[in-house]
Amino acid sequence: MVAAPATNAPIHQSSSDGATLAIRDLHVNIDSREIIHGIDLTVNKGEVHAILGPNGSGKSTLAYALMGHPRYAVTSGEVELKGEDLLAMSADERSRNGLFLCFQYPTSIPGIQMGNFLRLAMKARFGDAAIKTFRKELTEKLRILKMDESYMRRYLNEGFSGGEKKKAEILQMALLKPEIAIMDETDSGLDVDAFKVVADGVNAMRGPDVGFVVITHYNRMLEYIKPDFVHVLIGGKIVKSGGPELALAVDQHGYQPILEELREQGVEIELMEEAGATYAREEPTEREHDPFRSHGLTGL
Amino acid sequence: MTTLVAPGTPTELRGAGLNSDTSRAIGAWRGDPDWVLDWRAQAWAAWETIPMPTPTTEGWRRTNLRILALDKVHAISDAVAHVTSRADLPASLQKAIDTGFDHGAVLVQENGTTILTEVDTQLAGTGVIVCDIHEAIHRYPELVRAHLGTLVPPRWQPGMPSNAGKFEALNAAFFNGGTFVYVPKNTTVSLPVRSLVYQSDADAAFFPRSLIIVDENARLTYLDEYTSVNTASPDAPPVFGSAVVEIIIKDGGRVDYTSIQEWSLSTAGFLTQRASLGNNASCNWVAVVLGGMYTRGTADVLLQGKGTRADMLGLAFGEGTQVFDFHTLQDHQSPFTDSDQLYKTAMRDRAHLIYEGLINIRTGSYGSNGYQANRNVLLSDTAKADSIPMLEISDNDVLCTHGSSVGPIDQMHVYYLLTRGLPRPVAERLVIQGFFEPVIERIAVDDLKDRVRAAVDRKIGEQG
Repeated sequence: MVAAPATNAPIHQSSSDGATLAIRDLHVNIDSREIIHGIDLTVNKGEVHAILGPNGSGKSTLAYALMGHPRYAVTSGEVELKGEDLLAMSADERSRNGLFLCFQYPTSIPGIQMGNFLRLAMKARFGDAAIKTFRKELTEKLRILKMDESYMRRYLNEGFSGGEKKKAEILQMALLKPEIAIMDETDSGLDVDAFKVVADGVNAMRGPDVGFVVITHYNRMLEYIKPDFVHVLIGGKIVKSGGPELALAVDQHGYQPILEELREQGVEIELMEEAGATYAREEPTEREHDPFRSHGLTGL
Repeated sequence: MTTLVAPGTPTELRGAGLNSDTSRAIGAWRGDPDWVLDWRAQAWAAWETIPMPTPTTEGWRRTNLRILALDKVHAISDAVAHVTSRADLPASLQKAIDTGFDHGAVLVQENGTTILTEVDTQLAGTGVIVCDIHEAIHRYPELVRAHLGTLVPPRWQPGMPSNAGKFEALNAAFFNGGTFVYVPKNTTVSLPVRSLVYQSDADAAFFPRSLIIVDENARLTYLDEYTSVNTASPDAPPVFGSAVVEIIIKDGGRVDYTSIQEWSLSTAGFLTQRASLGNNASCNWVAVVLGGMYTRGTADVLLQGKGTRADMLGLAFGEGTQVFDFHTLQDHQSPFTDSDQLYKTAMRDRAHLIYEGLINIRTGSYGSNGYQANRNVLLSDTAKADSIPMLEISDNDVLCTHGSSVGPIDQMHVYYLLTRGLPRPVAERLVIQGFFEPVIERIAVDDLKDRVRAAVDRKIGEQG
């Protein structure tokens, strides 16, 4: 268990009042085991926050908990979205209120056409009026993401390559215009070209109307999407926050110096079993980490 | 254009029950030739002889027939006046017919009377026959006599497929209404031929019997629709009926058959559909079942000829206390025959699905493939599905797979849609629609896909 590392308190934590997204002392369980041990994070529109951390440090858990995944239980703490209690909202309410999660492993749903799904999502977020401009907007976003119109007739993520799935996530994000967008390891599993397209898509969205939380364990993503703030998440806690230079330091020296620094301060970090002490940099396989593993029917 | 000139239903038959006198009287009123009268008599005898299925009868173990009140059912309804054009149809039927796609022919039947017949003049010119079954008995006696009852006989015979045939016998004894289609050799009917059977008299039973004959190398797309009214009060006995469809596909023929059952929720009915395939014939059959408080659905394909292929798709959505009692047969009788079945259902509330599907690979059917899959989604804890896929293999060098599943809706699919802002009811409907889509996709004609999607959407609720 972690004692609060006072010297590593997030640098912009002075006031979370009036913030777009304010997370205070968030604790999250999966299957009655605590994974997130108290996170404080404030994100405003116009800001890009990067969350770095080794595998198993709780990055994705944070993302799913914020997006109301039924398997992730918030046991204590507060989260406000534009001053409203996010945790009291259902997942769909969170979305309609401007929160978006770009999934690391988007779910494939056979039988649901992409175009029809997007139209319904736009209607849910913006009302009937959005349907009128939907076509035009869609065409524009497809062009930016170098996606063909034929995607719209395909089933939702069904048979999509890794890159296509990520592009489809960015497309949804671009259309739904969230105020806070969480990107969970969007860079994983992408080849260089797809990566570039995805990064361009995100950069095209950047601006004063949206705040980003970019979760990654590679610095590569942050070379394209320059963060304003960088947080290091280890053992279910944000152990260090800083500016872009922190991402560079992690890239060059890994997480070991930060861990040593914490140890000198007498802070113990609980490491996840699956991550191990070595922080292997291999990509997790989809099966092992996919929180969407379906226990339902196959071959639908 | 053909029209049937039928006399009015004899007043003395009004209110008559299910008995041999009524059976004879209906035959007389219809002007049946002797062979049909004899046929009805045989059927009545079969109805009386075959024991009423009980929960201990094989194939009926999950069926409760006590909901029927056969002693109260009227055997026939008053005749309904013919109309000369669609505009004269009751509004509900006009709406049902007017679904925005072209037909080669339309037959509308109400309470056993064909009230509207429209046949495309070009179609009629090719020798294709689409008419009321009684009219066909008079005008094309040889053609009808050679085929009527060959697949669903008036009297059950040992060795015949499916169940005891009691309610099929009842249909034969009282049959009144039904569609006759004949497609001559080497003729393709590209626009769908459509039959709409509507029961508006809740006190009278419906007994339509349709006969579809597709001759050698001919091709037909057929849409077969069934609707009925609700009973006047919820306590009244259910609207009752037994419908039979025989589809005979000769060598090299092909039929795309879509049937949509949208009975009222106070209707308890039997729908027996059986198709036979000659050498190298094929059929693509999609059975959509949405209505009925109780539906006994029998769907059989008899792969009689070599090199035949049958695709059997099924889709059902149940709510309230609806019961769907499906029995299917893929009967491989010749070498190199293929059948592929996919039945998908979703049940909510206290709805109950029963599925018994048999692949029978008979001796001499070497080199055949039979596939069978039944997938069921339960949308509530109180919904129920009993799925029993069965295989009987009596020859070598065959490939068969069968499988079934029963489970809840995939909550991870729903969650993904929720995260995009879709309210839960919309998300769940979308997932259910997506679940059915692989079946709808396999309907051969795009217009019919939309027709089925619309029916399903109506049933599970409009999108938000």
